[in-house]
Amino acid sequence: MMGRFLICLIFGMMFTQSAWAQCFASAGNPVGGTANLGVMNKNTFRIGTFYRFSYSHRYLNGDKNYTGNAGILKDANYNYLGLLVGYGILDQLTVEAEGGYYINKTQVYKLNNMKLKGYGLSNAVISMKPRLYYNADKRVEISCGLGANIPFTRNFQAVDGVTLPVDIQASTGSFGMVFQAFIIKEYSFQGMRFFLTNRIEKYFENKQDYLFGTLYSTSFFFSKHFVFEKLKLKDWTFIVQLKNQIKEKNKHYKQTVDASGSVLLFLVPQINVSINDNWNVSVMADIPVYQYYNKIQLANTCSVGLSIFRDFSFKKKQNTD
Amino acid sequence: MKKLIILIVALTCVFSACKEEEEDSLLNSFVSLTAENDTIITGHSTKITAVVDGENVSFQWSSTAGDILGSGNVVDYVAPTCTPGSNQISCTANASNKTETKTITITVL
Repeated sequence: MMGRFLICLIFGMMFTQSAWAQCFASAGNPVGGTANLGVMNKNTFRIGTFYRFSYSHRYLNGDKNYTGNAGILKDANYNYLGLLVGYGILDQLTVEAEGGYYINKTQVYKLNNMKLKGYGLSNAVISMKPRLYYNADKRVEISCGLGANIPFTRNFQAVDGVTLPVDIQASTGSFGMVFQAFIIKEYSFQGMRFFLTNRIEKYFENKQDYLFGTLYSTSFFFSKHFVFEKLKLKDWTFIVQLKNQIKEKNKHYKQTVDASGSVLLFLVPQINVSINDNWNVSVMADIPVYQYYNKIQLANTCSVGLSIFRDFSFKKKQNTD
Repeated sequence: MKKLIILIVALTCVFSACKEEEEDSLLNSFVSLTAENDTIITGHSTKITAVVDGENVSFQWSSTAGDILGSGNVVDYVAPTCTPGSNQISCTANASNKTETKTITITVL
């Protein structure tokens, strides 16, 4: 099935780089786990996990490197483990839940190399994804998703008696909404697929009076499937993603934070291998192509990810004899 | 049954010990909360010191903007570059007999 194969390809690729925060923003935050595309077949259960590492060590002022003394951070990084589960209620409707855990979200300061480290559960997103259009002959699918973004906690984390900055809080502390749209076109005989995806994340103000800017993420994917008969692992897929992210400015105490918000463009190559037709393992890396940050902000230097995913079908097997 | 009794006794001892530890802390008064510099430039830092009259007092710090580094009664406040203006830094002194909070304002230029 088209849908089942597609989700194998893209899982983990849309984890957005939204620097939730402010000012000298953190290394970013993989808010989106709903990286899979399209809807699932009825009675299919999906589970996937992903790991992501992101590192930031340079400042940008607009799209120019900034080497002045204004930056208070030496660098920042995070390690994130995500989990996604989905279930096909109908052939036209999938329900999904995603969440994750920050192993660390660390800022290293120029001041005596001091560190602040946050950790813990991040937000969860629960989405319903209806299929809007599907043409089996033309191999075209259009679907969308609407979800609720739920913080694990509304209180900010404190370590050693110090309330951590918003940049390294594991959870945003704010509720939000997620809208997604997917257009998928497949050329079966050539083993090629094209995807266009859009994700909009809208947050509401949290208890600490932070309002994170709305994030608009648009991606275009091209994938090509190869079968290497001589290899033990035969099924390989190579994917190239062009990812654009526009993040509006944040607000704090109703005041716009000038040094927040950005326009980013990434090239994300990915390799996916299917193991025993059951497991799909992908590795990917974000390569910044263009980055524009309002005022001076800490910019993402590199991000790498690994995802593992599997579908289980609970449909009764049909006798095809 | 015997194991259950041992477990209950053990838990009682643990909770008693915790309570005793709490009773060890005492706060007579939160004397002062002062900053080395009450006006700093964005991106710069200043030391903030909480002075209390008491024993085994613990401290909790927070700020409306900017980052707090360190722990205990002396911390470094690092002013953010993006939000100049008046930023409040609060320190809460906790002891088993009482809790007291003081706030100071650092002007960030």
